[in-house]
Amino acid sequence: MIASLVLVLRIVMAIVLYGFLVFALVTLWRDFQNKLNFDSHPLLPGIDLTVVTDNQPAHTIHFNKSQITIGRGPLSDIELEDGTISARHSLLVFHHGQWWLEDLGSTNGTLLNQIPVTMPTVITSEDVIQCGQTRITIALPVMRSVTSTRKLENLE
Amino acid sequence: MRSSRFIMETIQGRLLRWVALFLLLFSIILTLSPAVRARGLTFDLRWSHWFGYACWLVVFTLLHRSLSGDLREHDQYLLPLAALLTGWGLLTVWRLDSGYGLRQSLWLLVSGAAFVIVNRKFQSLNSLRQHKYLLLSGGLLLTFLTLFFGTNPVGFGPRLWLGCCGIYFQPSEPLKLLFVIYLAAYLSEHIPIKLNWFPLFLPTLFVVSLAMLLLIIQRDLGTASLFILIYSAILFVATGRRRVLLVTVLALLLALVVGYFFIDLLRVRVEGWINPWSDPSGDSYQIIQSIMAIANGGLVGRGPGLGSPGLVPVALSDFIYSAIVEETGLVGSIGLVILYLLLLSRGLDISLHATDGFQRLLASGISSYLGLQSILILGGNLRILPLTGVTLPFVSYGGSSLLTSFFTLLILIRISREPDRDSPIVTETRPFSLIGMIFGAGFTLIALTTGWWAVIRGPDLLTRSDNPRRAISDRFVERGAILDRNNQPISVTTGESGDYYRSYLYPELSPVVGYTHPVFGQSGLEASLDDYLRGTQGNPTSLIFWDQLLYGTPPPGLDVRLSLDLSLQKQADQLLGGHNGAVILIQALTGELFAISSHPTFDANLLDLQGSDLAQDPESPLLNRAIQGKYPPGSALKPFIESKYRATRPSVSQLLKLYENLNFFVPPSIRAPVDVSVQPESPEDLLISPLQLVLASAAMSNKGTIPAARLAMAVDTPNQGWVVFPELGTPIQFISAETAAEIIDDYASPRNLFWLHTGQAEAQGKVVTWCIAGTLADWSGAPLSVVVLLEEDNLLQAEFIATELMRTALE
Repeated sequence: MIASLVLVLRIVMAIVLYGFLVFALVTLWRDFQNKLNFDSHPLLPGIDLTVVTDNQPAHTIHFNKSQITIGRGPLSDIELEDGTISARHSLLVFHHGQWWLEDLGSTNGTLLNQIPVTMPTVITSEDVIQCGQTRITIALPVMRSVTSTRKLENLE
Repeated sequence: MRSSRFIMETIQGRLLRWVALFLLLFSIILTLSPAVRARGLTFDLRWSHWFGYACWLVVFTLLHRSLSGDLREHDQYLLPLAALLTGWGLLTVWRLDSGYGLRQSLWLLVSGAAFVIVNRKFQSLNSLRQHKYLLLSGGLLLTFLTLFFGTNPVGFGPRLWLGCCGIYFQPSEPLKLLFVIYLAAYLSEHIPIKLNWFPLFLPTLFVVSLAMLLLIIQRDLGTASLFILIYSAILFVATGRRRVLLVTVLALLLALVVGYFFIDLLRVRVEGWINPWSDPSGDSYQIIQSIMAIANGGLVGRGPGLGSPGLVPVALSDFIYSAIVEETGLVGSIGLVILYLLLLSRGLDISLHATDGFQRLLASGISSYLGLQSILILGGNLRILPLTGVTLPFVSYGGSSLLTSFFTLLILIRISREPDRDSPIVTETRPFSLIGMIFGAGFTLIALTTGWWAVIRGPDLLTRSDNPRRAISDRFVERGAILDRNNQPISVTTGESGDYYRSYLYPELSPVVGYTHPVFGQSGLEASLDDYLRGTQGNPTSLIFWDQLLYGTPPPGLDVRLSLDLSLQKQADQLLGGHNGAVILIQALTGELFAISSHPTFDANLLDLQGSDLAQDPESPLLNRAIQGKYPPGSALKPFIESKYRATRPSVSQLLKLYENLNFFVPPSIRAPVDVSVQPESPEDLLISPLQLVLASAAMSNKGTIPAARLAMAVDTPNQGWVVFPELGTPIQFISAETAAEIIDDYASPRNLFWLHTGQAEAQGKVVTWCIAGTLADWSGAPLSVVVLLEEDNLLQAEFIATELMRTALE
């Protein structure tokens, strides 16, 4: 009699343990889905890059993606015919509501407003990136507050 | 009011309520467990662990409120995960030992208070970073002090603790965390500047070597190897270079090989790991006991308080996992593994979203530290890895371990707070995914191995005679009685549930009936009929299943009836008296054994006092001479040779053929331990047991047919009453009835109603005397046969015993 009662309690205990795990996993999954939705939302503000080289007229390119590579290699988003530029030179990434500039270990380095880039650095409009002999000027659209949106979704 | 509403709504609060419910159920079952063990016959319930539950409730309510006071949102899963692991461990410690449970509860209160105070006092983690050298040298100094002032709370073993007045502290526990903090701080400051990386790491290498040196001198090898692993994990996250891992693996292998030759403890551990079954009661005792505990857990476990995890040495700290699996089974084990995986995945996630390099390295370092330590000790418990004496974070008994675990929890929660600014971009995600994969694979392997020991290998392990759980269940479940053919008891179980013991009412039969003893194991019929006596056979399968599920023991055992007749048995024992030898009386037609005497005998009731002496006794009283003894037959076989080769002298091959027909080359089929019988090179080398000879001589009284021996006759089953055991062997026609009658006529004496023959044999300078006798062909009652064996040169005595026993039996 008492053994059967204990058996029932043991089964309930196992159910509670897995109930805890399922609840935790389900909420985590929802949170993850929210983040995914957030990441795939068309929140990308786009970026205009004006490329100035010595021998060519300046031209402006509009990008609507979250990663832009700069280099001499054919797979670069901005392909530059410049001997002083490495094959994969630097990278622009949109993350956490900001555009970040990063040097990809190039031979001659990347300068942001004349300062060498050693770690990922946030860029804003009017910033000038220099890779080798090439200068790129940034133009960002006016941004919405992305951070507040994310906080709202987290609270749900 | 406002804040309490807020608490109700968080995920953390809801998860904590699940945990509280889980632990409440655990505690209730633990309270009821003694009544279940005694099958409802006693109501000594357990209450003490409720103090532990109350402590847990107070501490985690406090922690929950202290964290919820801060409006910045922190990780909602860490606290409930830690709460579940801590509570589960705490109640398991209470279950194993209330004294240690009390200590652990007090440590929990201390750790909880420390958590709340530190959380309130220190608003920023930067102080950790600034004081990294101070913290690390403090930790190293404390560890260094154990070299001189170290003690061990148990009184022996490695002196890793600093202690006074009953409070002990193991500095190597916080040292791990301080080491992680130091590495994270140092590397986060130096990594971004791309220097030549070897000089960059020299200071950290120096620190890790110093710590390793201390630990190796202290023989704390588990923690030492953990240091190497943590170091490489952090270095890997910081640099993203896979060669770090490669170098670590090589270094660990090298250390293992060098340590194997120079450190005895390590050699013992490694040998015990590679080949545990070679020495299950010695160096591998711990790991074998751990695996047996896991096997006893099976799929669903025995239930809290219903297993015997106390049998595993150091179940409180090193082997708490096997204690948990024994009582919650594979189901609980998988739950526990998922808990750790969730904890680690939260840790790595926090690391990815940390606000700066220091916090990122700190969070991933702490996660690696917790994950690696868990894998190390769980793998050790399951024989995936050599045994290392590290604790299972949050779960194991140990104040320093619990306090350190709480600080890791605090740091992770602090890092997880919604940052003021966005986290920097993660350039190198490869280390995170690789470390995540390593943890995933490690814990999956742990769950699979648990399943292997608990479910697949479990049944075999549980029936091993050196599994002490059988002896324990014998104390709680009544074992079946052994009865003679008239239902007179021979061996019975007496006492009360929880204190059952075996009584042997006719001790002279001890060599035959044997014994069942918690230390000396089982022998004789108690061993060969164990399945029925223990109730695992003969009972309905559903009953066995339910009893296993409800109580973790087999159902009450079944009584077994033997063919022995106690009055004839007494007569045989009296006749044999102080002579060393054996007497068997058999019903020649059915093969039922009426009396089996083997002298010298012993008293199985006195096994506690004499057990080890009996095994050493040169007279070997434990040996059942009648069934297992092997003696040369010599001239005792004369009637059998005459029955086939009356006039001629048989050749060697003819003699061997004759012995084969007499069934001397195969052991008799009987539900009792018999010795192996082999075909000898030449007829002179033949050795037979008295049982084999009495079966052969029974053929003479049974119209030339060798009967199949029978000793265990029937079992008293709950559903069908007495069920007769089927015969194991088959009767064999050795000679024709006429030939048998002719031969035994030659040996019949005019004064008696039976035939009789004495013979002698000599081997290794010792003479044995045989006497065989049996009823004549015209005997109208049940045919009987007798064999007497004396380990001495005494034809008259042998003939006297046989004659007297035949006379009594025929009356």
